[in-house]
Amino acid sequence: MTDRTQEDPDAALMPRIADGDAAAFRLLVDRHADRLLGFAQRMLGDRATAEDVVQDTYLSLWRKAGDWTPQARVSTWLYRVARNAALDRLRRLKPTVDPEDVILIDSGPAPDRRLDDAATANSVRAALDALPERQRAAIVMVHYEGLSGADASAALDISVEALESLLARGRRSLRQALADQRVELLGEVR
Amino acid sequence: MTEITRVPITSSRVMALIDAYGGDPTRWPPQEREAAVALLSGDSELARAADEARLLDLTLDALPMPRPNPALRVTLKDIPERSGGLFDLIAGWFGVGRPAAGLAAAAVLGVLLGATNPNLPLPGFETEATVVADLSTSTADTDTYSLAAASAVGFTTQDTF
Repeated sequence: MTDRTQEDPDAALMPRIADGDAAAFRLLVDRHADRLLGFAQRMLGDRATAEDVVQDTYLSLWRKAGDWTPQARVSTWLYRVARNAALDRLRRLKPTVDPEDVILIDSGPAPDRRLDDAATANSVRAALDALPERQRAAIVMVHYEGLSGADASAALDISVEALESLLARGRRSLRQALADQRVELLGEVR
Repeated sequence: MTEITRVPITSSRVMALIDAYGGDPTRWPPQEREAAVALLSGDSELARAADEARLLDLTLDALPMPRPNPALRVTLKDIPERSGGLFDLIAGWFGVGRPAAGLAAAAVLGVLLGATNPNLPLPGFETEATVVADLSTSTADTDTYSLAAASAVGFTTQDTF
């Protein structure tokens, strides 16, 4: 792996955080908290637990910033900590969907269309929940969080080849589970 | 700026990229993207696979973006102020998050206070000193208290109780 301090804008903050610089810590909250919350919520399907995971992640950052080495991006390191915290929770949590947390991106369509969208969202949620955790983490990181293969593999502590295998198997399972939704979508696209 | 080294690519590798990253080439590894797109444009089987993968991408996008939580940000930004004390020590012992750590901290604090100061009163119990004080007060105000109490429950002052 290469030294990423030159290309990672967060890297310079880590030694400052290790020295107890609260302002540097807060910058990383501003830069990454929302995405980590999104990641945790998509991993867990539960808002409150996802928020706990993000708190655990930042508590680890504050306590263990000195352990970080510049071989991985700071954001990748944070995803790794969040994923481990989520994994810990997943062992104890049965995922559920809180309807309060389901928001429709576009509020324009008619009510029946909104119901369709919500139903599709619930199906996607259920299909994601049914995936093995490693496949789910790979899909959430790459598809939803937009991490590159290199960054996602570093966050999951696996090779890029192993990541691509997880992604391919995960997408295959999702394609099967969501066949009905894809047929509906095909009708709308055409 | 990172130099992107472009690598030769095969149809099977493009299919593997579609299977893993989906139908949107912007998600593919940058060093393979250009060659993969060129190969895709001249291969109907690959193009069909990419279309199929794009449909799955669209379906997955039906899952809404989780809402940010401004209150959570405030809580996170307070971590430096709240860290390092008894609270975090106990959170570390129990391996729990903040709400549970708060309860655990309160419980441990209670046990510690109780152990170090056995004279502290327990809830629902009165210490000897308190009882004595109450008795002396009652004695001093016996008449007033008795009359008021008797009146309150319907007794007359002539009744014995």
